[in-house]
Amino acid sequence: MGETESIDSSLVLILLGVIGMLLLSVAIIVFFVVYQKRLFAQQDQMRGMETAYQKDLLVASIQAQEVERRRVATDLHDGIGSLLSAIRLYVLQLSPEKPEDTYNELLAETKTMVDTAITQTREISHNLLPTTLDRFGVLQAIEDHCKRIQKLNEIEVICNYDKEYQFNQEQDLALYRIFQELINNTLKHAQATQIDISFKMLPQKIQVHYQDNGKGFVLKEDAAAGLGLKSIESRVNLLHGEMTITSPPEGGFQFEMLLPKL
Amino acid sequence: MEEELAWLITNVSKYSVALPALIGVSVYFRLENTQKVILLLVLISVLSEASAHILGFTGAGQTVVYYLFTCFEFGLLTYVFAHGISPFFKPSFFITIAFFLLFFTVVDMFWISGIAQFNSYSTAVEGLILIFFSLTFFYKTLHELKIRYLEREPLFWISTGVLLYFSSSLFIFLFTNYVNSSTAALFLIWSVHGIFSILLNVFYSTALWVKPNP
Repeated sequence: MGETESIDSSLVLILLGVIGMLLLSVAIIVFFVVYQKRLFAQQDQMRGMETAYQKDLLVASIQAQEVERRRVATDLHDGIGSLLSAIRLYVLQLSPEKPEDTYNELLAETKTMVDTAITQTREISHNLLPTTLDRFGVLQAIEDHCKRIQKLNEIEVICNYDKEYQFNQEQDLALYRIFQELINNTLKHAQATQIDISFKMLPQKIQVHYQDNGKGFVLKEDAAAGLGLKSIESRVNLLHGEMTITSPPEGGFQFEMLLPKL
Repeated sequence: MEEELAWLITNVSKYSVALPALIGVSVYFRLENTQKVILLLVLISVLSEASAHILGFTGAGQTVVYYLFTCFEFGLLTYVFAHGISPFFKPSFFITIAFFLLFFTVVDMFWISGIAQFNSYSTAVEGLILIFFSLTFFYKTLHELKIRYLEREPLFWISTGVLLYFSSSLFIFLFTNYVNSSTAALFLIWSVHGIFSILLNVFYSTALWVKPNP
């Protein structure tokens, strides 16, 4: 009787062990399958977001390019184009039969218009790609740009940078465009009186800081500024950098960028 | 009635190995390396069952067949897992473990369970190691996220079958020798084991049937 009870109890223990282990392994398998599906779903979602983000950047970059083309077209059509048409009319009227006074007056005005056309061409060319950028690099080009802005607008620009570091041509151009966009945004929307620009060389990276004391903005409400910022973002990505933008409610705009050193 | 059911389950489990063998042979030409190894394991299993059956009739000890089968089964499954989870462990790790189990089976055969007894301890150790391999495969799959469609991965079905069979049968292997005196209890235990054997063969059949991920 005692032996039978002992066999029964060991049998029950074995069966309980079997059921316990079976349930545990089923739980592990179910967890594994469900978790694997969830991880793939998350991965797909992340990829979707990344694709959408890249698409947004591409659209923004194309739009920015179109805006720039339109601006150049307007400059050419309304500025140089109309000047050249006027010059043509003046040249057609220049004939030796005209009284000398009238002739000289027409000639002087034609010369003035040709000079204006030359100046405007230089300005358009400078806006597209300043010669300073090619010859002396982005830091000098930004400083020149700031000086020109200071002359034309009632805004103080403080540039603070270490001239030792040299960027390559691609970085020069991208950085220049980023600053052009930032300064344009400040001039158009911020009503600021001061801009601070600084370049700081850290051991591994370059810290770029831009700040204005304007009214600031809410990113989602300002579509034009949003487009410009997206174009900045795509250029920062091109430089393999990281950027942060802050615009506190009390006003002001801050842009900070960390770039890897060459 | 219960004994009849137990007898039926035990017999079905013996013959269930024919299912993966037939599937494996019928689709042999499209099998991948892993699947071919599983087919070889299944064929050895068929041979073992037949040998044990014949030896049972002749009255000779059939347990030696189980000792041999454990070695073959472990060697082949270790080979399959070594390919499936290779970056996690060096090949020398798998070779060492395979030799360890071979050594342990010999020790179990002569000094622990004995040649006339079922190889409880070597099968239990084999089970523990294979459970570890299948869990490592699951971990690796989650870590790498390379296999999107699990249902098309033979190693997933093999790991699932191995985990279910060996974890559930672990207590049976370890404690069978303690209930040897009761035939009814043995019938019950081996019919439970038979259910898991059928399950394992179904998983092997699935592993052989699926067309692996490209």
